[in-house]
Amino acid sequence: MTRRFRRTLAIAAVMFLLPALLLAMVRELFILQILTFVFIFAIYAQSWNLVAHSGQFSLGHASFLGVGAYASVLLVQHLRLPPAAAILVGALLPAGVGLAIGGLCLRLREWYFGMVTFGVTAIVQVLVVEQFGWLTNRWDGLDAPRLVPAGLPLERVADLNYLIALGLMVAAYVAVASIMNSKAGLAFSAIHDNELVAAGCGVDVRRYRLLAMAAGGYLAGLAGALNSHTLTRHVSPGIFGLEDSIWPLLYSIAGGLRTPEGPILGTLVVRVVWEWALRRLGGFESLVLIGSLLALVVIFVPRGLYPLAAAAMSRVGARRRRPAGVTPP
Amino acid sequence: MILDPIVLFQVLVWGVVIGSIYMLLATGLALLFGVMKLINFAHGELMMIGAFLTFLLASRLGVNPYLAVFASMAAVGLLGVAIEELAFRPIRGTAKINEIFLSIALILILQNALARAFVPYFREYAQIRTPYATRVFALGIVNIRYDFAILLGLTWAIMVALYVFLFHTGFGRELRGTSQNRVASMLMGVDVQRIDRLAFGISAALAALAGSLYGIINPFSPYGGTLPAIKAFAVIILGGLGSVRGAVVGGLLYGIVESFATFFLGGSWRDAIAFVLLALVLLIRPEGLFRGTA
Amino acid sequence: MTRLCGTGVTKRFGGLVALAGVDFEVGAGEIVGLIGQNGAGKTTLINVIAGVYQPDAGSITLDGQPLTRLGPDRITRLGVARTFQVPQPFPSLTILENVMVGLVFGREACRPGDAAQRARPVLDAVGLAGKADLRPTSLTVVELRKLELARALASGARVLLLDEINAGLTAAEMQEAVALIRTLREGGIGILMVEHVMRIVMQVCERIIVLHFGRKIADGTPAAIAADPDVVAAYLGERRIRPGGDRAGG
Repeated sequence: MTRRFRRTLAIAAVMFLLPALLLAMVRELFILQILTFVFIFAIYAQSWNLVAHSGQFSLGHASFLGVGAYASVLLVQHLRLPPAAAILVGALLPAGVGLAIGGLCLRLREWYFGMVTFGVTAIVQVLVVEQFGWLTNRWDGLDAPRLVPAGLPLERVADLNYLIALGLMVAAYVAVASIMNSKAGLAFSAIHDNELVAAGCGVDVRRYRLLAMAAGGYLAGLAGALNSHTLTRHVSPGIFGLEDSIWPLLYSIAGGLRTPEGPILGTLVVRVVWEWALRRLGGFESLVLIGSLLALVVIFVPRGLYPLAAAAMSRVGARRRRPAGVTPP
Repeated sequence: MILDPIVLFQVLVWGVVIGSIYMLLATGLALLFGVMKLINFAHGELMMIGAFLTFLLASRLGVNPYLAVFASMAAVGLLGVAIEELAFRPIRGTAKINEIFLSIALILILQNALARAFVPYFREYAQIRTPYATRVFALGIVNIRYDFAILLGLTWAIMVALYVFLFHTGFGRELRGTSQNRVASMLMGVDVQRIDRLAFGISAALAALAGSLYGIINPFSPYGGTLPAIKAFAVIILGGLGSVRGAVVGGLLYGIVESFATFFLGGSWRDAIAFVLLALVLLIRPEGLFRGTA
Repeated sequence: MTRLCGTGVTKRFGGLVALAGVDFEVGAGEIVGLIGQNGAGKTTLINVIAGVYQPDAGSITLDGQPLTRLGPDRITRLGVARTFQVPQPFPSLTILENVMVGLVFGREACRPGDAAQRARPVLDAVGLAGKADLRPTSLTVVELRKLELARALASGARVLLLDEINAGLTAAEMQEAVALIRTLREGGIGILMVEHVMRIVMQVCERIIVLHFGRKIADGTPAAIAADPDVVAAYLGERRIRPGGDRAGG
């Protein structure tokens, strides 16, 4: 077991235990709901961030979120799969969509890639509503059954949703951190920096770009399915909107691009600010606030909050280990 | 389906009208890309702010919308200059991707600030009312709305003015020079930051014009700018990035294609057509259909 | 033994013929210079060998195995590594990780776990050992060229394509580079180097290929090249008239 992997596991343990403890102490339903939301959308942001790590900045991530949600709900409805299995199996469909979109966009980078992925989401929406309207109930969408078995008291349902979302978020974290620290992660970084040179070093650019898109599709689809079976209990074509494609980018940038911890921290911080703002200001004002924060982060802290937090933590740690009287250089 | 030539002609007219709006949006984007190699994803929001200002002037103060357009263009032009100055300037030279992120922040800010400003006036949609809304004139066997004729006249007058500015003034020459070779222009003593501000201002003003015209022929909402702007991005990719000629031809053509495609395929395809086209072109000819600079 | 062999390699860009039926050979442990004026096709030839461009005609083999039609990554994995005219490090990776990319994805196909260990001696060899954990932004131009070379070496190359590895170096740094290049071929690596500094070419290369507007006009020992009237007329003579003309290659 490498040092990096041990570090990942240690962080994962903290990431799981702290919120699990919190569950034992906090009984306010709205706080649990907000945190459940954070866990689910941290998976979504994690997915966006992984794809971005390979130099592909997607502006159409809602495709995966939506297709994952529809796939899972349809699996439950038509094949009678239990929802818990359906979310895992259903996410294979958005993984395939990721491969298809990735293949279409292989030659594109930066904002060309962003543009086309955004556009593809509009096409996916039309396909879902028109071509597959008989299956998807068109604009009305579909109701999503509960993730946990029927008959449980509501409070237990909320607790279970919370724990399942938390567990999956931590699992996604370990998976993504492992990918980033693996051979694939090295390839992603090289491709991110310079595709031509990466190929010149022997990196199979197509293969790794597609791999990132498939993995990203799977995770985002999983988040979409989880969301519709727990929080919204419904899925409709509105999910393929611009907003749902922008949120994961916001979370990742705020937390720290291209680190596995960043999206989680970012989702938590942005979401808490958002919930706070919604209660004080109106909806429009809150979005203006979030937009302004994003602009400030991009201009002043382009690397995001996590590197800042990590640096501060290691400074504190270093000070503690140092004998008194010696100041760091 | 029986194809009535009168209907087809009206579909064509609508295509030219909506195409002119795409043309204005795409021209602004192409100018901006030419000079700064920048894509402002919040272009559609500037467009809608322009529509809203024209709407306010027309409905509150009773100004003729076709005059109010100019005030709106000036105001949004200044807003564009401010955005360049306060937002894009500080991140110039950092990773290219930061510009996309910043544009997205601007979308959130402008869109929702506008939506907030909308609240007291109407619920979701507004339309700019002109004094000629119900007037038509006969062109052969079909009737054409007065508004369409004025709108086309205004658009082309502005495009000619832009052409004269770009090709027959010193400022315009500097702008075109910067678009071709930024470093060389800098070395020649051109104040490229001033050119950046100018390009951003013109681009924003054209967006305001596009938005106002859009608001005259369509009901609009604060969120209505995103799709037209995205289509204009598609147009400038199809037209060859930074090519104003490509933007003009591409914008018009796109409007016509969209109008016919919507007519034949049905409304829900309207917005997806742009991307089907875009995807096809990128697969076949990634460098765009036209190539060149302003 | 011939490592790299090209026959009739032709590349057109629209109407422009960048390479017209060029034959070349690089033997094991041989250092071959590639010279010519601006636009002679030197960098184009490097790009064609490396798989960045597909040739319009002709074939290229490495140890008898055909390379034509393969992508750049496949060619690197088979054992042809290159450096770029302008150093192109991966800025978001450390120096060590930059070299690891070569090790992991090159011909060696080293396991990522071992790559960090194996990258250190490579950094040692080019004199970057102390900088392993820095990022490329903190390196000087000379160090960036060394990194470029280290990354290419790490890929386990059998043939190394060096595109103006000496550009922008001082005389002392060039000598350092020359010494390094010479140690490389001891291991049987064949080296094809584009080079503008004639002194260096004459000093290190055993054989020189001269390109002129996409055609090979000479191929021989440094002494023979220097005496070749065609070469003198087409290239060396020109140099005396336009000393500034030896910047970026074609």
